[in-house]
Amino acid sequence: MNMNKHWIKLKTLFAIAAVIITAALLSAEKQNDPVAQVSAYFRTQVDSLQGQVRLLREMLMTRAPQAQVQEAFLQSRLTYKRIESLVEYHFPETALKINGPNLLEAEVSEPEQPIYPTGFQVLEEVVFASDNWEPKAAIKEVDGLIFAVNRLKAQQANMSLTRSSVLDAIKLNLYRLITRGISGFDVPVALNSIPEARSTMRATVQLLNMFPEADQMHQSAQKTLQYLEQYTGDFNEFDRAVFVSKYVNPLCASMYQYQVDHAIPFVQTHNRAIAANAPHLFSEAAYDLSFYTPTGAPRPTAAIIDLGRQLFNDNRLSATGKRSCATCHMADKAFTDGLALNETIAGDRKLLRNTPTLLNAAYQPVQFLDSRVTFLEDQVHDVIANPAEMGGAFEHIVAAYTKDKVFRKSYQQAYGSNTVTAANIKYALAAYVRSLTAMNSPFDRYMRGDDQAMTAQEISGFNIFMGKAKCGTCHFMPAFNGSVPPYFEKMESEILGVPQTSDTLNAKLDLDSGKYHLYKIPHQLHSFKTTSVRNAAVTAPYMHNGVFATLREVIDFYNRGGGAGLGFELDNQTLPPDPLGLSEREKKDLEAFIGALTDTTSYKQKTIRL
Amino acid sequence: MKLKYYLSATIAFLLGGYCLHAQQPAFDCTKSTFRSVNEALKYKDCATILSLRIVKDEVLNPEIGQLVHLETVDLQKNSYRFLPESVGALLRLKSMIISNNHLKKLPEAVGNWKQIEFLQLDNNGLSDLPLSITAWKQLKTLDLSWNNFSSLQKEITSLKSIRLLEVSHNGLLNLPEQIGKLSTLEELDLTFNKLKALPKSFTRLDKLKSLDLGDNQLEVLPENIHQMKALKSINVNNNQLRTLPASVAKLKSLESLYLSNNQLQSLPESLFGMQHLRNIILVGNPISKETIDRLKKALPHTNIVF
Repeated sequence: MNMNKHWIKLKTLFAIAAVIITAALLSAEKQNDPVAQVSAYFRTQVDSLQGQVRLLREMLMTRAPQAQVQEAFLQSRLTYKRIESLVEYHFPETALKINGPNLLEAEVSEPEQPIYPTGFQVLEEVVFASDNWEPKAAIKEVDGLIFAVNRLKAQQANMSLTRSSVLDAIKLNLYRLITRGISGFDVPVALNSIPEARSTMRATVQLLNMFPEADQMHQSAQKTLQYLEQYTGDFNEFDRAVFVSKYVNPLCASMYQYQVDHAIPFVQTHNRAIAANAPHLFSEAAYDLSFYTPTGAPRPTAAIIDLGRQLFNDNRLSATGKRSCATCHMADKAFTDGLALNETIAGDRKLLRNTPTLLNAAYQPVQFLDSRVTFLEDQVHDVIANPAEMGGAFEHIVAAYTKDKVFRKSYQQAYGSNTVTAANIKYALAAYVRSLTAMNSPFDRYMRGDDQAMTAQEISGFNIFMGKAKCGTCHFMPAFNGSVPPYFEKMESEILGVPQTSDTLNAKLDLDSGKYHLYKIPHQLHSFKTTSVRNAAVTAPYMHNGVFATLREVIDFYNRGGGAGLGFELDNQTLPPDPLGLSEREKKDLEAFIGALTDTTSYKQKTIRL
Repeated sequence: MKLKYYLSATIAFLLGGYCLHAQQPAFDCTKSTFRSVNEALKYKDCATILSLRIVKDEVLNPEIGQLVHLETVDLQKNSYRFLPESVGALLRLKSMIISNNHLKKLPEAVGNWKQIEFLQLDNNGLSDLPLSITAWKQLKTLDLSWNNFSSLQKEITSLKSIRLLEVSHNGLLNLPEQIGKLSTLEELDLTFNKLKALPKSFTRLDKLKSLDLGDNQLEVLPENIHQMKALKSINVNNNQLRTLPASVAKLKSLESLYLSNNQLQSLPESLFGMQHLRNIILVGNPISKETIDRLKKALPHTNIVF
């Protein structure tokens, strides 16, 4: 009996010990679990950000000197940068409220109701105003910030973190850093971009260190941070070419390798132009062009692309039978016509806008200078059916091709069917245009590790493009168009104040209303899609009306602050009106860099990587 | 002892009475509206109605996929940019409202909503739909207004039960050739698009009662429009019509004809015999006074606005 009692006691003790040991093990495991650590890190940093913005408010309330407020503002931003990756990933709307661009928005169903921007970038303009320091206006903005940060705190329990999502968020933030961070996009007045890049990288190192067995990834992140820590120069002098190609790209690649080695699945999502499993932003297969393709479009086989090429050169698509797509998009002119404005099919007047190149048209979330359609298939329809451009009627086009035995043979090869349809004609034409990719320029090769691919002058031009000249704040890498990183699903339009003629002494504003005509949103008057700078060296003339004949004219236009520099009083010019102060050498370097974005060879390929 | 007993009984009675008054109506999980995914997850075996309307949510909790008994979901006015694939697990869904979000695409998994009858997707940024929509055989109402559609895929013509289709305020350049296959359609709203023509099969929509084509760029209506014999109302305000097909007069159910702001100089003779027409709106057309006077005489019981 006693033995039994003793045994029960022992068993109880053993059970208690087992529970304690298990709990300790679980706790240790939790401590080592990157997801739990990231979660704890986020909570701490949000608390810290909350403290910072409250302090900022306190300083404004007690009328602290502007310089002190500025310092507190910059500190708050540095703190935000420590969690930017996670906020942007899990709370995109709150991220917009905290650090969205200082631009008006509007719902298309309520064009007269502007949605005013909020957050750091609005506050920055108030806090760094050189005159009329108005703490009251700043308080209002800080209140908005406090509200957004409180919201983060309230919502943080809803973050569903996994190792995959954390690595994905960090990588997207590295893309954000090299496209928007170091270009001055989100701190345009204070230009505190390099210290902010340091903060981003410190956070990146800290977060990546939470992942075990990741020596290479940790070393790569540490090196990237060191590069930034050791930099002592200013915003303009920062060597972005080296930073991106030698540090950030290899870091992204090491993260990719880590995921592969540890079988951490890449995030599967349908809302991504850059594949989650791309080693880095400039990798050859980084873009998933199907993102910009309508659901249901057939896979672009060589036969479909060939059919598209035939159609592209076929006059029967037009009402007069005398104009094909190639009439205005000439292959030997990089798929432009070299004219400021072409003529209507009737030849009675000029068309409204400059003929754009089709090279890399596939890398855009919208088509046309006013962004009126999403897919190339619809762009094809619009141009063919436009009475001024081609005046074609698909009913007649389908009938004509149905009677053409030679065409039907190619069609059969492409689609495995003899029944000609308008939809398949559009698919083929769009597939051909999508095959006109040009993403293997000297710049691309440099970014993929070929140090010799760009000259010193071109590299200098890149650094000016991404720094002092601020071109990169609208022409986002890697497509160098207005599609906004890191998701590349939204296309920006800008109001530049483009003149009617190149006569800068008697400049008159071009009156094309641009995107405004779509929904009559007042602040979109005269706004146009930001087109790609790739191949700009061979696609003159420039701007929506072809007003500038040379790249130098374009650079001079921006250098003087766009339309504002020409004396136009445009309330809604989105291009900063301040002169850039570029020297002659800097302009030459910029031109050289733009030349290094030229790739007119790839369109000859018959297939497309997808 | 007795006193103690009575006292206890009295207290029990009073407490019982109190509890009786305080008693809440019985909680019926299937009829309750849950206001968050987490709350509903506690009743995941029975939660039927979920409303996240205007909760300013940014990313839809993927665990919504565990709520497999959901039949009614309202996600209106949030900031969703995408829906998680897990929404495909909501196999019993009948009604879904996702208006006023920021969706650019829908996941293919929505094709699993085989019971869906009512779907509002207005005020998003959609340009296309997944191919899997062909599985929405029960869908009666689909609202795609205020999106970015420039065209509709042919798959939309597989909606075998559709009665109301709203695609107003998009940028539609054309309609699918097979649109006539929507043989159950009763109301079609295509206002504020960029349609220049209608496909041949359009007149096969013979159950259509209300046709809204206002604010497009149409130059003609189909000659055989009389085949759409259920039509009660036609709105073609603000187009570029120069003529009307004579066969419009054969539409015996037609009550209202909205023709404002077109280029009509004359009206087909047959129209002067449409005694059943209640309203005809002709504002903003270059029609002569003589023609209007003659119309007034011919249709004395019709409200003619010119």
